[in-house]
Amino acid sequence: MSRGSSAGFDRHITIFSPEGRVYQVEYAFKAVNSTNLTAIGVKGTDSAVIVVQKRLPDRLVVSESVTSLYQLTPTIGCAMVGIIPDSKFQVRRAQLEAANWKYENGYNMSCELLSRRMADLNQFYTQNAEMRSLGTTMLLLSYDAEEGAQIFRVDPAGYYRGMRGVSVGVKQQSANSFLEKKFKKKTAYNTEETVELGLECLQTALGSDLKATEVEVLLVSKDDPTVRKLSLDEIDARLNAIAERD
Amino acid sequence: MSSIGTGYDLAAATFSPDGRIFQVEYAQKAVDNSGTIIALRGKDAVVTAVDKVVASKLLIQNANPRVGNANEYIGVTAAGVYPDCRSLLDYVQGEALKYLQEFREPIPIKKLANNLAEYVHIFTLGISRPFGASVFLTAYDAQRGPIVYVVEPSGLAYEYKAWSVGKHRQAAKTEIEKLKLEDMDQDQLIKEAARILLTVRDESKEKNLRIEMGLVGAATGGKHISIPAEQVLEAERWAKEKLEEDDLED
Repeated sequence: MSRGSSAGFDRHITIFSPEGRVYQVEYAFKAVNSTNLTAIGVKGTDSAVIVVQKRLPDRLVVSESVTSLYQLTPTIGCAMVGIIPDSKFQVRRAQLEAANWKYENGYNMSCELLSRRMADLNQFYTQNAEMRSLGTTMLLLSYDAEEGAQIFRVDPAGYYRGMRGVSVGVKQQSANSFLEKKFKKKTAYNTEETVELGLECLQTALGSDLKATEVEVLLVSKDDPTVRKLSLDEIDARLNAIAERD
Repeated sequence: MSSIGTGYDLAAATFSPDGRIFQVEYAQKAVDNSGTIIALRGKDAVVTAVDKVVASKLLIQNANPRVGNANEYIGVTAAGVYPDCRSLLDYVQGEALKYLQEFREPIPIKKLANNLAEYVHIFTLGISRPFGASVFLTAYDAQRGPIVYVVEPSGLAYEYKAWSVGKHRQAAKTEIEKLKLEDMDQDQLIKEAARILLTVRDESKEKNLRIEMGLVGAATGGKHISIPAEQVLEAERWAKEKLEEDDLED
């Protein structure tokens, strides 16, 4: 690969390289894969689900203190993939932004607006030298009264989009191919089917079956717009349903 | 993948080409090179033990302590660059006091651990250098039982059943995993902690070591104390006897 002539700092701080790339932001994307986890988000007719791998870093760690799922408001949840302390930082900021919006404007911040705000903050880091970009990608989910089920993806570059199906992390290529194939055939899924789609996608991408303790699931639906985590029994029920189908 | 960052390691504001932040990894190395610290969570108590290097015979006993208190109920044991440890101790003491003034009750350890983690994390963003310190927060709660949190230089914080950091952390971890900690009471924990530190010590390379211990549990009424020197020495004596017995058996 030919290197354009540069003063040499284009790889060190968030400035342009001669080819017009911002290397530091590209490196931030690599950091998202550093924990070797994958998250899948899928939207059904009336529900949105995020499925993310759960891995204990060590057997001496207390399991309840390890999670990638966070609640931003009573009706907006998120999964974070990437550097964990950066994730917690972003979650706190998102919670603050949403709470501040409610206080200033008197109504709940929508998922789309919150995603846009977090994306704009990420863009800020890409244009300033003092602070680095955060090595995390956010998947937000919500059930919006007007727009229905929502999933948004916000990445370190400051890019955000609403997604019907999305995957983030080390196995995102194979997971995305799986989702594309499924959505080509059918886009209407009920709540149980949506959860199963997410779990099946993760299993396929990882190449092995999952146990309920190795995965976390976040769900929101028209019947229950409060974001909640599925219990181990509920996850088991869906995993068994998938196994029985095959 | 190289383990030194040449060029990408000058500031925490820089990612390396494979997405690592070397300044944070180097801060972790500062902790890895410091004296071993272990924390053991038992049935109704938590014991922390530090293997300190005594720099000079002219220092008074227990100068530069590594075991302190955030408030009466939460103990702080820190490994790594000593001034950074002191700075973080000041921070948690300040946070505990602010919470007490605001809410009129002692700060829950989980909240303090998260506050500390967020604070430590801010220093990994590039404005300043990361802290070269790992902090153990320990408490005993009548409802939830004994609790241990560890906050690393990256800002990562987990709750642990037991943990070790520092020079001999791998060997210490192996020893810890052999124990059935959930059944151990306070006295057993203190003795085992001393035994583990003495086992993993490298006598030929390290001189002038001194063990410092912290304790919180049902027997202390949920209040964290630095274990008095005589008790620590007694535990060390027990441990030395036990190690000699084991040597004889082999």
